Amino acid sequence: MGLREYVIRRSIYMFLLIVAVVCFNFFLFRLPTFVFGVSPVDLMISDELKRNLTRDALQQLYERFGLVPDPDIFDWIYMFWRYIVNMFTGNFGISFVSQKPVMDEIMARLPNTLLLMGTSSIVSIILGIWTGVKVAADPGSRKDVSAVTVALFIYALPIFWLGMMLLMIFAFYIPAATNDIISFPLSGTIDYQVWVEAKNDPLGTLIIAGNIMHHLVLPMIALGVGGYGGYFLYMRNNLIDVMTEDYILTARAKGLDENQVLYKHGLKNAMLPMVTIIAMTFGFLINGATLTETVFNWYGLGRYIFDSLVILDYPVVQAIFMIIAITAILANFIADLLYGVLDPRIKYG
Amino acid sequence: MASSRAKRALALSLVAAFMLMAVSPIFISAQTTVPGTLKNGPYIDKLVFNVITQDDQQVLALQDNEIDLIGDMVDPSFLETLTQSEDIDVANVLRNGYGYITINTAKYPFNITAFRRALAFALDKEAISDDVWDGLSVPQDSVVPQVNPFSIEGQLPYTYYESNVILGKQLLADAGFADGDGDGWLEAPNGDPFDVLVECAQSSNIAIEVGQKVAEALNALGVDAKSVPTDFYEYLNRLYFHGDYDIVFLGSSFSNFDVDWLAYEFWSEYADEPYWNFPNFRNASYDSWRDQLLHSTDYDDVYEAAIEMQRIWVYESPMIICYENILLSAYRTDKFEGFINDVSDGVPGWWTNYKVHLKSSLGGPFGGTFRWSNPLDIDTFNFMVSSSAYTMNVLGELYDSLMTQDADGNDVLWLAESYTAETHADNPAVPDGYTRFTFNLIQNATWTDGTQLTAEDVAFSLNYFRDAPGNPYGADLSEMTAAYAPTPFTLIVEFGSESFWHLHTVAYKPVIPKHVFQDIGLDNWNLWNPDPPNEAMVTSGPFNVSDYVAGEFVELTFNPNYFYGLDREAYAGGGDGGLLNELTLALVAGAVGAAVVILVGGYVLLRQR
Repeated sequence: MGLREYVIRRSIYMFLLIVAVVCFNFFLFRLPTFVFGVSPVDLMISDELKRNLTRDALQQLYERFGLVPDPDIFDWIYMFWRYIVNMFTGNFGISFVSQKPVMDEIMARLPNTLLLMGTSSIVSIILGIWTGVKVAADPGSRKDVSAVTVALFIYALPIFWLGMMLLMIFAFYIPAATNDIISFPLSGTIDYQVWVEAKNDPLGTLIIAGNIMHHLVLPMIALGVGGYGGYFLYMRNNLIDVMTEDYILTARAKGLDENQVLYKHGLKNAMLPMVTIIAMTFGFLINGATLTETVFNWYGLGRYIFDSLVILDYPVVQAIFMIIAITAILANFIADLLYGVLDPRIKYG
Repeated sequence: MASSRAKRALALSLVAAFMLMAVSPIFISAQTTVPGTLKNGPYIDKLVFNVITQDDQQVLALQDNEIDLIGDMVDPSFLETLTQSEDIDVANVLRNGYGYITINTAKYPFNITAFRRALAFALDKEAISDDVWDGLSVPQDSVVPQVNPFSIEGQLPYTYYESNVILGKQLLADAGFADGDGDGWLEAPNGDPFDVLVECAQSSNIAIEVGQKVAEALNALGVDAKSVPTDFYEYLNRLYFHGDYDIVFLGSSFSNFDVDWLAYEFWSEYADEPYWNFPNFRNASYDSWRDQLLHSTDYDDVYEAAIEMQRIWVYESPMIICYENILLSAYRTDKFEGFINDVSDGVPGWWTNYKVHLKSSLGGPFGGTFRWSNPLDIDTFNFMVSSSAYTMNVLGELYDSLMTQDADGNDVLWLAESYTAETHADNPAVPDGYTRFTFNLIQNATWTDGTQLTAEDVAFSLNYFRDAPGNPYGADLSEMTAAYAPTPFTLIVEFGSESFWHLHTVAYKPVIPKHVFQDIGLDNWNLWNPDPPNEAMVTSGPFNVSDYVAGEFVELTFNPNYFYGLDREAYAGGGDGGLLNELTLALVAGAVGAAVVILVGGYVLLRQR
């Protein structure tokens, strides 16, 4: 089987997988309704509205959200059919909460998530691979043991705790001690005061970009540190394994210097498993980092998913999970193709 | 005849009084320089709501001078930190709401009044206040919060505040509860063993601790009971649809002091109605007061009905109120003053935004940017769609109503200058059984696009809310038969029933611009999604949206043509203009006073000669 047939076969699998994920999403997010009977309408009725509620008003409220008060099996089948049609026609619907199109809401948050996830992933991948290679060259040394210990420690750190510590130290205690000479923002992506001043400044865009980067530092570190530990350990372990292979011995026997052996023969081969991991990382970029975005009050998709799940805003969570599923499946597919390009030993079929 | 010494004393006194009058203007600076009356405002230029979601981040932001006010009630665990911080004040207000347990009165043996009263007596509400709330709550018996003037709290000959297990046991014994099988737990009067499951929200420590206290009180009475923290929404849904439960812990809050809900919340006919009457309570005596509460137009009659309904309710105890807690608000005092501790909202409320002003040492009272933290971003600029209190923190500044509630909870005429309420008894022209309100509107209110705000707008708003399908603002307008404007500043509203409560139903509704919403149409009320500042909103309130960055902040700017706004130019120069006016007034007053002293003194001296 050639590459073309492989791509066609994988595309069919991918489509079936996406259908399965979309069907699963419908039931997953309605579990509170199936198990507990909780409806999104119940969560939106404030004390004040409840006191003025009439039967007609309640019926209208359900209709407004395209829901049925006490659905029977036929209602569910109809809702499921309508959901499937909407998902595959790109009609993700309107958020129950904001009454705005879901895609608009997602697009408003996507740049912030991509910025945070993208920068933290890139930094952690580069640092993880670089330090992993450095210590793998000399396994068992004091440098290696120390680096592994540190990596395991930070890999195990809860991100929300690390985030809170960073905030306490760099956004509160150090600014207080240095009279704001060294200071990082407590939350958000931009300062109101900077925004106001930048509006009247010819270099306003640069000022705003600088302010966003200033806000990005702490969440990027919090998110990147956890990722770094993972990449470092993967890289180090892969490289140590590769360095015990026969072809490395052959390379050394040929008289190549250690750097050539390490980078030309070792690293190239050790990078292969990393490709999958890196591809999957970028596949999940859109996923956002719920905990980090919550701790740092970062206006992104991670926080949005969490908020929408809590109040059963089905249209939002359905759409985001479908997009995540598609990007993850695509990333996996691309990784498989890259494998073939990077490793001549791999044949499709 | 007076001695010369007495004359000298009199003359000196007069001179002293004269001097005092003459120099009286210097005392002006010692008085407050904030001009205006209760209705005048706002004083600040800009109002900014910064989105800060976490409690601890809000506290840090306040300490760090990134905000001036925490826009939510402060967790009591931060009290010590905040009170020790420089330039930060903490205010407290009793919550217009409470925590309570609801008892399933449709289930045997909880349908026996003695069982519920025994539990009410056994539950130690003072311990809840002291131990669970660390003194930041007070015991409460009535279903109407004690901050509400309709509350019966303190008027009953008994309370359930202290734990009285002996009396509780006596009530149970008298009702036939006994431990017939000697297992240590009471059986129901019919001899059947029973146990009680107390459910509370696992997400709230307060709920868990109160649930435990309730279970302990039942155990002390000899009832087999346990408290189980569980999923809040799961049991809330069972309550909404009258599913099975024994006892459940919940909380409730109110935004005003109306108590017409007493007529529905525990009405026998609503014992099976979804979303109403959680305890499935049925009581004919209670129901007998409904009509008077709902359909009397006389305050005394309404008050009597509300009190009698509470008297029955507290005795029957279908629910047991566990506490009314104290709400804490925290704000910075280094830049602004004039914070208002509202009975409903505490300091973070509409009145603070309206009355807060820059300190005179910083060039006040006008100007400045007052910064809130808002725990959630605004979810929409369509106030009819949102059920978020945080969104309403912002949108509440954009529109006005005929009346509003002052910081003490009293009615204040706002867009209405005066009103009359009539029934057939007052005016034969009003159909029998109807209520007619005639409002006279102020004549200087305008929309931000310059259009005059008239009675046509108010009539349109009321009809729009009522007729737009599913609009929550119309849910209580179903009995409104007509709303129209016979003249530009006269509004007539009629209801097909007589009720004291109709006034608030109409007068508290926000007024929307007719010339904007007639194009939007009734069916699109929930699809209207303004996008300020790209698309300027036509509003009438003290502030309007001037900037918005999603997820970060909303900036509101004061409305320079607000109908209760002060002429800032008259007070130009950081308040000197106002000071100048008051100085002139003080000089005139001083001169008049001095003239009076001279005349009276002269007359007295002449008489003495």
